[in-house]
Amino acid sequence: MHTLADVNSVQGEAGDFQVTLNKRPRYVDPDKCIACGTCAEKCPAKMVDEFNEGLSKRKAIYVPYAQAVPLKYAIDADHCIYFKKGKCRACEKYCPTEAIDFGDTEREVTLNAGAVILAAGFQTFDPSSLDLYQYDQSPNVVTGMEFERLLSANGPYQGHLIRPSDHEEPKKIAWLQCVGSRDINRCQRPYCSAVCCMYAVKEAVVAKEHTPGLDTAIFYMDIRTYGKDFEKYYDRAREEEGVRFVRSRIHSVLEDPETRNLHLSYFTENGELQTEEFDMVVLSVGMETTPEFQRLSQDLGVELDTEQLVSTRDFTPVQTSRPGVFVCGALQEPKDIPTSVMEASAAACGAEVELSRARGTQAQSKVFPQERDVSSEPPRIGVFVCNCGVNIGGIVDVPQVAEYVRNLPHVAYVQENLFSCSQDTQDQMKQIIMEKGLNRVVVAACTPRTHEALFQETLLDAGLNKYLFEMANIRNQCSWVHSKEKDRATDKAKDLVQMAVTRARNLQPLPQPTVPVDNRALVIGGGAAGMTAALGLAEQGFYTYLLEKQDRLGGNAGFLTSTRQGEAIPQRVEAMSQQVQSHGMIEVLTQAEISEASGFVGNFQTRVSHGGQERDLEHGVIIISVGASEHTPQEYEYGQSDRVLTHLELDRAFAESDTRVTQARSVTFVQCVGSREPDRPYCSKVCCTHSIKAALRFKEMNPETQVYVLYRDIRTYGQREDLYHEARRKGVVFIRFDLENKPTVEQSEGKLDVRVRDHILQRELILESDLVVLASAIARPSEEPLAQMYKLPVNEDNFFMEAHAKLRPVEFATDGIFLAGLAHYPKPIEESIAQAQAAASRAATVLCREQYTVEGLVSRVDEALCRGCGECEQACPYNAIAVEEVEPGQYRARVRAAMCKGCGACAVACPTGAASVYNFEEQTILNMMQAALN
Amino acid sequence: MQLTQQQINYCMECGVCTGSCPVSYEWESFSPRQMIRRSLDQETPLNLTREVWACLTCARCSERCPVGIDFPEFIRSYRKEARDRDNPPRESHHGILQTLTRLQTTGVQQNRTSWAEETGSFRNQGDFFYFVGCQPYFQILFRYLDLDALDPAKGALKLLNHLGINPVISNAECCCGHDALWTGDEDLFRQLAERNLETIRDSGAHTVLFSCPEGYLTFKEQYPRYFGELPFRVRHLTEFLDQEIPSAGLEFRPSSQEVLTYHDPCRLGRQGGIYEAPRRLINLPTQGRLQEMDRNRANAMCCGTTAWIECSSCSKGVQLERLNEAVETGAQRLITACPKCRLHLTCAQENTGLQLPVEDIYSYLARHLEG
Repeated sequence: MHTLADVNSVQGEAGDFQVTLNKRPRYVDPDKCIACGTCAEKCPAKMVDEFNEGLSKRKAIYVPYAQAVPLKYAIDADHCIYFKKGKCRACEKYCPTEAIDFGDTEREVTLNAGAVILAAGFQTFDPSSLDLYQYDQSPNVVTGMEFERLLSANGPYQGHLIRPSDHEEPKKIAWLQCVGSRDINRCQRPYCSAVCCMYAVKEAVVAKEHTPGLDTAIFYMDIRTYGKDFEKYYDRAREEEGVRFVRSRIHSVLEDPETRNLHLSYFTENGELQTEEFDMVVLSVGMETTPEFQRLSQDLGVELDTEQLVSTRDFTPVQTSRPGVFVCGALQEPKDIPTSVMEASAAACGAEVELSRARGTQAQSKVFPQERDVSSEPPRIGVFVCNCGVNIGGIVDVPQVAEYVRNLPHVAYVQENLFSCSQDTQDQMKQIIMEKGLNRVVVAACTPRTHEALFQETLLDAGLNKYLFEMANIRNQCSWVHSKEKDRATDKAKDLVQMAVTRARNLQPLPQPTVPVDNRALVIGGGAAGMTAALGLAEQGFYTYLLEKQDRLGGNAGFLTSTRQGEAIPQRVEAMSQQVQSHGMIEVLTQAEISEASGFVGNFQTRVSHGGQERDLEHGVIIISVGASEHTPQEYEYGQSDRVLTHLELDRAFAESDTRVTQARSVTFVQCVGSREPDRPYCSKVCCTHSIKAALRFKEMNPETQVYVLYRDIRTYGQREDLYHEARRKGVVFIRFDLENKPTVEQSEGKLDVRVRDHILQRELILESDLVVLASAIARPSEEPLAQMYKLPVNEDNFFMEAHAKLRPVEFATDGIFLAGLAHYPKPIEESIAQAQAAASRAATVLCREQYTVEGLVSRVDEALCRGCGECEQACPYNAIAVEEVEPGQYRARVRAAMCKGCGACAVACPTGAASVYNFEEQTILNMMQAALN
Repeated sequence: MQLTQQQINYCMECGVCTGSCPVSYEWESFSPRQMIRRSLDQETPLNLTREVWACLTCARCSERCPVGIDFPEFIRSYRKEARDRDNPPRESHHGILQTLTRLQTTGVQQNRTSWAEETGSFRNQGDFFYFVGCQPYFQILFRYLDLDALDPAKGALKLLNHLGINPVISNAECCCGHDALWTGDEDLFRQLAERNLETIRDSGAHTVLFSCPEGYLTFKEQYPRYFGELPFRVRHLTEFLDQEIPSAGLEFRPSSQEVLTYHDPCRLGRQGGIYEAPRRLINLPTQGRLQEMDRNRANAMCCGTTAWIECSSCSKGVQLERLNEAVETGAQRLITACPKCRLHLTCAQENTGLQLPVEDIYSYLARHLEG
């Protein structure tokens, strides 16, 4: 990892780049720094904290925020007193590990790389130039990013929501959408920033949680909550949380010079002028690439588009104009976290393909000594109580805690450490474990989340099984939260350590078996996503089975005409299909149906019927890309008139030059058919863009054709907004309707009369149409045999559910199973392709291993107690426990250790106590509670 | 109340107990006969074994014992010692039911009557006290079984209201102490019983009615043992209804052509001696379509677990055997008169091919009330 680094140049070509970096000095040796924070505490220089958007101060030696990686301090030389005036060096004096190095200098580093991924991120639009919003003048006008910091517990006011001018709690807050987005008049930002609607709704909801009774209003043009589960959040904010949504773009903000309150005036949809006074105004600022990146892109030879975003093509969504250089995140187009994370893996996939031959050549592995068998020894517990500098020692009486622990049963050794995590202490702990013959180790310090692995490694170094370790968190859960009650903090620390010692007594060494990994892959579904995933794996050298239910590859993509950027889909899909079918590492099975599935990560078995034969496939991973289908409308005369078409039907009619299309002189598009309604509350995401593209096509064929789009919110997010501009420019008429006032379609004398109430004119319009096109929803069947077979979760809308909406968007909670395309959520083809590449990349992380190490801390079942009731199976999120027939009529739950994460859900669900997690047995927990209460 | 040495010595080692024992069918090494013998053995005292907790105390053995050894009572006497010697039972459902029982001795504010407010009428003072038992707790704990565990109580209250009785239902009622007593915790039993006796005395009731056989038997047999003669009558609702319904002129709609069978709860049948009253009641709407299982009345099989302990694959085996027996009668519905039997026999069907609705007698009758 190279931090504080600037890229000077990227020479060479794909497969062999030389990247020159300029590394600025940190002035802190990262190998020695343990991030105790003493230096920042003692540093006298204060300056503006950029992380908190300038709303608070930080020191000249600092980490930007608590989650920074690496968690190592750095000196900001521009503000350091020593660098400015030649004396101070307080940090150096107080640093317990001698990590400060004032002699550190700037260095040039050259790296050899086969591929380059650009992930330079974005900055938010600076609204200073839009003087009507008073951002520079009024402290109570803040940007969305600043408001995030105001809400945050580690923000300038510790999460207490107060306004900057007078530190009073605001009672009324307004959000103004599209500041620095969808504006070609005042700021040349034509694109939609894609994330601001959602972040504004979230900020409003969170603000209401902070301050009960808070009035929140969001002023918007279109609400664009098009992402997975976003519409539900919007509905909840509006209907349950009481966030007000006002469809009006605010022209100016006026500050009351005395109260510093802010006046907004706007016209309601009924045409009435309203003036409201707010305590704060939040500007929902958009995203843009940084000027630094724009300059760098020229040196890199990476093409940007007119909006200063990295150019990509829809079928190669993470490939820049320079071969071997990939892009992900908001550099390419404004986008949210899930899509950025998907693209990051997609870019990794691109790089993996380039580098597959070099895989593993740079990897090193560590060898540990033979584990000592402690099974016949009584517990000999070593306890290390950490001071964490003054973090713990300044509050908790550590010597007293150590003395207390010394008298507990089975405690053989107690030691206080200044910093338990420092390298020399680790070496010392290892020696003590061996010399004193310890067989259980307790460290009372900070959180296992960050430090457990480190101490477990020390145990391994000392020849102990790593599960013979327990941690007591006497910092985060004690000294930090009880800093004003030192005596009671000491008492609590004693209890916490006693609990840890009690658990340690019951700890057993656990094995971590390995299972071999079959490095073939199974991709289910041969649409655009499935083919992309198969190619992504095959190109990396992994043999891939591609299953398709139909007799041809292509899926829904086969029915579409062109992408957002105008690439012809049928030709590209055909080419992709050819490539897949002729690829030596891909075996395509069409008309395939899965009848049986079993196994776990690295070792799946799937029975497929294909061409009248049964085949048993063995493979290490599964990618689910089974797609979705167009909902069949039940309204608007669909099925009654052959002039009412869905999107897919329209694209086919275009392809066949159907006269209904070529001769249409008036066309009406109806949006949200079957989407954003009570039965199907989600937004189908692609339909606005698709309708507008089709509307433009009608206009291109004949500019005189009357084209109407009846919509609820136009959701041409990101750069799709350009299409919306173009459609408006070319005379497509957009008419908005509400769910309560949906348009109607009637047949009359060979024409279709579409009636809709125009919200601006406040009267009903009758649109005489030759053709009505319904933007029908993308839907998933309510029954999905794959979901049953692999035990994969689906959400309320029948879309498959990923492991984590933001951070793990292409994987299931069950190891070794991945997800891509419409089966996850409606999305345009470029996003399906990116997601499929991402799935391939994540799958490759499994396939590239020869073996898979099973977690030791897993569940187990006492068969005598098991009733085979299946409660555990239902509770398990990982498909890691299942009821099996052990003898005719006899059922027992069995754990598949390789899939188990040791979460304990089965143990809780089990009515008899048959299921439990190793080292977390019910009795162990009860003993710990007893220890706490004694 | 440990059996006297003399009583144990009566054992003729005939083995009828082990042959009758439902646990022995599933767990081959479990043998009441051996346990009697082992009680004489000082080397491995019975109270240190797992077997002491495995007995269902269903009394199928003692019903047939030629010398009348009360095996359930024999086991109970060892359970207190087992506890004292750090050999506690394995509490099922993570011990939540035991915890709830202990909480009830602290005077904790309960919500035992809101169901009754929604169901019918009741009062705070009066001649008849309806002892509801644990069903309000079960309703919350066993939601995952997809049933309303309060059905028996709701049916019972409707039937009583139809007889013109608005019984006392008290928020201060607590657990009858059956499970505490049968798991060797006499202290807890006493505390619970004392609270209940006070609550009933305050209500002014002369008769206490029980829909639950365990509550009924505990009040009828154990309370007098510990507290002397009770100042009220203890009656099981099946008996009471059997006696009152004919004279009160309550009419029942004939049920559909569905065939039913009846499961005798151990505490009501073998230990309470009530076999015919529930059958007569079921036949009011059923009109003779009640089919008996092969093993019925005194020969009936236990529902497989008791006192919320030691539920296991063995329990499941006992339960499945009983359920299959019910299915073999051709019945489409199994009626029982114990809320716990209903829960156990419903739970046991999970993840099997069985789909036999288990209903309790009161909700069945209430469903068929005319008018």
